[in-house]
Amino acid sequence: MKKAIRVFSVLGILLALLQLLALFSSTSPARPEISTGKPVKDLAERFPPDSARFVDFEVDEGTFGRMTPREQQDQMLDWLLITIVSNAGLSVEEINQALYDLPAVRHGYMHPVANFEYGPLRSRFVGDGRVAALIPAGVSAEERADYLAHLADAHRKDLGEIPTMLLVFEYALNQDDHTALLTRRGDIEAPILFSEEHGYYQFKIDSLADLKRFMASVDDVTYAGRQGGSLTLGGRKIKSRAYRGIRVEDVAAIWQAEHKIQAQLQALEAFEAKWGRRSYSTAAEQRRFAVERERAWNQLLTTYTRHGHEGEFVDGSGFSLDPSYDLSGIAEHLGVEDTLDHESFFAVLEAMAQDRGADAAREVLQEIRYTYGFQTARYDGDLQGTEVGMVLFYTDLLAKLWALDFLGAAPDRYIDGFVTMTKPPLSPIYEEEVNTLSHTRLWFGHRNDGFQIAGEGQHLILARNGARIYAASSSALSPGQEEEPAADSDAFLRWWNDHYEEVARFEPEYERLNEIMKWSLIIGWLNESNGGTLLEFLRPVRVDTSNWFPEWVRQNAQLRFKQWDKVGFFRRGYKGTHTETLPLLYSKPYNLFGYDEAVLSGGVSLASKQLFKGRRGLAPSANPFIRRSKIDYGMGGGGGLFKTFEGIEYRLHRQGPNRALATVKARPEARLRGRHSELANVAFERLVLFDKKGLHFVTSTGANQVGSLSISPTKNGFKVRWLSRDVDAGQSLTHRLSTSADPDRLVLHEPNVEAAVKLAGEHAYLLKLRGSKNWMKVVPEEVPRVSIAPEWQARVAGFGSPVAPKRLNLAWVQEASVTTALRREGGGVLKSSEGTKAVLGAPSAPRGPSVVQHLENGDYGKLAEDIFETPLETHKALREHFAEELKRVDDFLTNTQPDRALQHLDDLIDRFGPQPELTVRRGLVQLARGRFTDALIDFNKTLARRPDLLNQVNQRLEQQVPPHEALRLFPDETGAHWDFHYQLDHLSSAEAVRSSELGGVVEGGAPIYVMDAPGLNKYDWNPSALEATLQAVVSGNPDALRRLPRGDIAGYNPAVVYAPKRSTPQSDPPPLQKPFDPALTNKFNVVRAARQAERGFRNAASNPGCQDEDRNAGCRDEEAIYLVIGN
Amino acid sequence: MSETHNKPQDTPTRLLAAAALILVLVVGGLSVHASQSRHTRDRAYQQITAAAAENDYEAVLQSVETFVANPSFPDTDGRRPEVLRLGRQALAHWFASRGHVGAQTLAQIDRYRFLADFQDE
Repeated sequence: MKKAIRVFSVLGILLALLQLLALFSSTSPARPEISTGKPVKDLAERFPPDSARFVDFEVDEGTFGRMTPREQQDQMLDWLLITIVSNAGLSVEEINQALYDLPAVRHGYMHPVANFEYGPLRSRFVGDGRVAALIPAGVSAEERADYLAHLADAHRKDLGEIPTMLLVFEYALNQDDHTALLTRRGDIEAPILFSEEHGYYQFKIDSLADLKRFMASVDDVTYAGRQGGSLTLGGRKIKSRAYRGIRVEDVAAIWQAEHKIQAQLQALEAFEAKWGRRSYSTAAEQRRFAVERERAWNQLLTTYTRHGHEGEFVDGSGFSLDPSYDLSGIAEHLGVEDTLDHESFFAVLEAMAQDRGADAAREVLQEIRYTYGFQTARYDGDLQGTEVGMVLFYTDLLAKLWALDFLGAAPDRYIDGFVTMTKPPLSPIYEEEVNTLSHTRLWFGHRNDGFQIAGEGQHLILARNGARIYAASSSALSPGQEEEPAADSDAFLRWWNDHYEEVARFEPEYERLNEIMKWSLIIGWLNESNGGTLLEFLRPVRVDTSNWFPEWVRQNAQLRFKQWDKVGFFRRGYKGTHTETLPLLYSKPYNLFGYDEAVLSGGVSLASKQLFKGRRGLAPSANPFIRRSKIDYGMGGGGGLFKTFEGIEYRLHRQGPNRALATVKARPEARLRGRHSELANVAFERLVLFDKKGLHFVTSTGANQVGSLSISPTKNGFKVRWLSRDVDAGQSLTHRLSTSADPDRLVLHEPNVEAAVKLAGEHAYLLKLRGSKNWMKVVPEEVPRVSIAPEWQARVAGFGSPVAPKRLNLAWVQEASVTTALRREGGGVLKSSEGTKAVLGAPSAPRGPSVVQHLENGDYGKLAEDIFETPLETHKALREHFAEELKRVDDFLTNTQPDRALQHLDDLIDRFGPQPELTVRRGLVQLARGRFTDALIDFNKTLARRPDLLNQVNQRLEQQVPPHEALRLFPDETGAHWDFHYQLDHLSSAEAVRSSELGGVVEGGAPIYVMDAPGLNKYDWNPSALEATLQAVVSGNPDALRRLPRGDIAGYNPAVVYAPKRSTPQSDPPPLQKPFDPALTNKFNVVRAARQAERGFRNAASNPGCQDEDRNAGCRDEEAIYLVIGN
Repeated sequence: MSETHNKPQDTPTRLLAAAALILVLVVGGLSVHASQSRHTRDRAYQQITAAAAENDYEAVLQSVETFVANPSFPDTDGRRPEVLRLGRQALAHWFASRGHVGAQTLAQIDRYRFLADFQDE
């Protein structure tokens, strides 16, 4: 017994100790805080398949106001892509890597550090071989196939291998409402897109017959691979449209031209080896040596160069239109006795500029150009007379004609946004630069991001687009000293490059140029890797060299440009030339910045073997997230540092599980130009930060924030919010200041300006923007400059306004230096934190009490201490701050800045909670933005707490609708929910709908309202019975169903519509004095509401046939509501 | 009639048994208490998150009070910092929404003074 007691006691003790241990070591619920660094576990969490997610973009007017509608669309697509990548189950570090070259905002000054996509597609690698592919909804099956193939090809090129999976997302944008629907569709195994079924063909090429078969199968070449001694080529057939590719003969022309150039270069090397280091001992020996060398050189020229390009060797094929001058005529004109050559001609001009001034020299040059100038075709390599040569000639000439808008030929009427050099959308800040650098050389060449060498040099993978246009600018008097392209040339070529494929669809000769460029890349790559002989079978292919450009253009009716008579080619052999010649061409006189002459030269440079010398292919160890074909894998600096071939430098850092930073620096010569503003060339930092509110992308330059993009989940999708900060908001404000007739007034009434100091002189201020740590100094640029003066960080000027714009320089300064600046510059406070009254003296620091700071910083711990310690003072400070902020919201609304008001309200709701004063304003702001459903949600939130605000809301709603109509909120039967009710003025525009049209009405989806009448209430108005019910009603009364062309009413989605009694199409009663009066109105209850979530998405999502004016069955009718009227 | 004698050699057994009994009772009591506290905290936490989503500040504050009044044993509930943050935020929003501060508001503030007793975690 005792033994048992002992045993049980010991067991009890042991069990108790174990239980105690278990208690101590029991795992308490984890702290529900983000520690994994992953915003979501996987993609399915936020993107259930085939379920549309609603994306709401919150952007202030200042940011979108500086973008064209097209740029806004591009911006929203970027944000959709960032939303997808942010919710793809990646860590913050991986998100940073995936998006390192996609800035959060698309202002022009970000372009030199970005890798933006244009057009309807977006895509990103999201790890594990997967690519997120964003394509438009509602396109044809062929277009969809082409889009997906395009993205698969692009990522194969970047990754160096075929991705494993495409994660397909379809979007429908509603640009007016700043919303989108985003739907994840079924994933596609990417390798199947590289099959013949999907338009991809790959052949081993051993003979001319193989190449012919390949060229007959594909439109676009996308792959070349070497395996052992054989060549494999891959390419795509474009399914959705015709694509103007090239022929085997054209490939042969490129190969033969390049082959001859390589032979030339080898002969040149041999010549240099033989004659370069010959020594001699006597003068006679030296003379003999010189004669022999000259003879050998002439022999070399005779063998390898053609008449078109005498006495010069080239290292690659190409074409150019060179300006030529009748130099003997010029010598006579200038009274110069010596024979002039090109160099001495410009030396004479420079001397004249020094002697008589630059303007006088320019005038002489202009006169000489008109009288003695012409253009000569120059073919590098054996391309003269070939079809390839003709395409290069045509595309080069047409680019210049379009740049100058020669005879109004520019396609800006057909291609939305196309920019010419005669009317680029440019700010006056670029005036001096454009006037000084009036000579531009434009040429087509390869794209560095158009191809990638992979597989340890055995594969060359090509993007759809391998060609681009380049430019360099110079002064008219020193054409040899080239600089970065001037702003007008830059605007022209940047737009073209960004939309090359779109331009090429308009003029398919640019598709042919693209294919020529890509074949030159393949041939150059093969030559460099000693594989040129793999295409040796092209040597005997006969290439027609009989083409003569003036005849060729007349034989090719498909060319876009047709006014060749106006171009006026010269006869063969003009001024002793051997190639085509034509006059210098001029645009119509234009006046961009008071100077009206731009001179263009240039051509096309095909890729050659030299391009691939030393170009490192894709490093197999490269992180797949950062792989891009434009990265120079030979330039990696370690520690997350890498560079592109253009010299853009990126550095990626991880700063903990929830923070990662990308730093990017443009090449030193780059100009960070926007349409309205230019930034000094500084590094940008982009911090990716994950917190409880979502994922944030904060962009800064030095100590100044550009802005912050936040992506947060909502019940049915995402909110994407761009908040402009110092740089962006500052430029928005300065842009308005530059074109303001009364800048002081603008500063005083701008709610975003917290404090302002007026400096001496017009348009000169020190401004403190709300939410900004620094002050912004704004001073006019009195003397026009080519570039930003070193002491300034940006310059801004608007254009296109009736007020002559001021060029304004900007710099952001710390608060400590404001007083110093004020003493130095003179001036007084225009606006202080106390309000808008003018106060003279030094500015007081616009800081609220600590309570407000704690609230603004979200430091609720310290705020709680304030509440416990000094409740009355704290409450007073909070209420005063609240009242000030409400006034600011009202100021934003008064200043027609509802988007900015909404952003501020959301901040206030974060800080103060959804107080009724805030939610009611939010509803009003949503009304001002045309977002009626969102307004109703906010009104319901408000009225649930403060029913007394109903009158205030209804008064505002009255202002929303046309005269004699009314809109109000009424509670439903439960009394807990309010709906819009709409009072119509009359029904005279309502037309009876015939029974034959009922099918269209039912399928069209427009809202239907039924009169509250006993004769109609007996019917079944459920959706399934709707058509039958309407049929029954109309058969009884042919005028019962009326179509009222008031799609605007559908926007409010009213629960009830009222119409005056006795209203007939023929006669209407006078306007009602008392709306919603049951004695005077008929009440119509909704039986089918407007489909809010889909409203506005029809263009992208519906049947293309529905865009016709006729309303066919199956097309949604969004221009009307239907009323069923009883007897 | 028999007579029971406490033999000296029985004492260790009795002590052992007594110690075991006390330990079992104490640990059992602690376990029950911990379990009840845990259950209460779980329920309070759910109420806090639900009330916070509905912006029902007073309900948040009451549930925070319940949560804090039922500490875990040992005091290692990982949710407490989040609970305190939500409680302080609710206090600030509730306080800012008061039209004026009267005796009743001051009394309520006093009730939630415990929110200041915890350092930021």
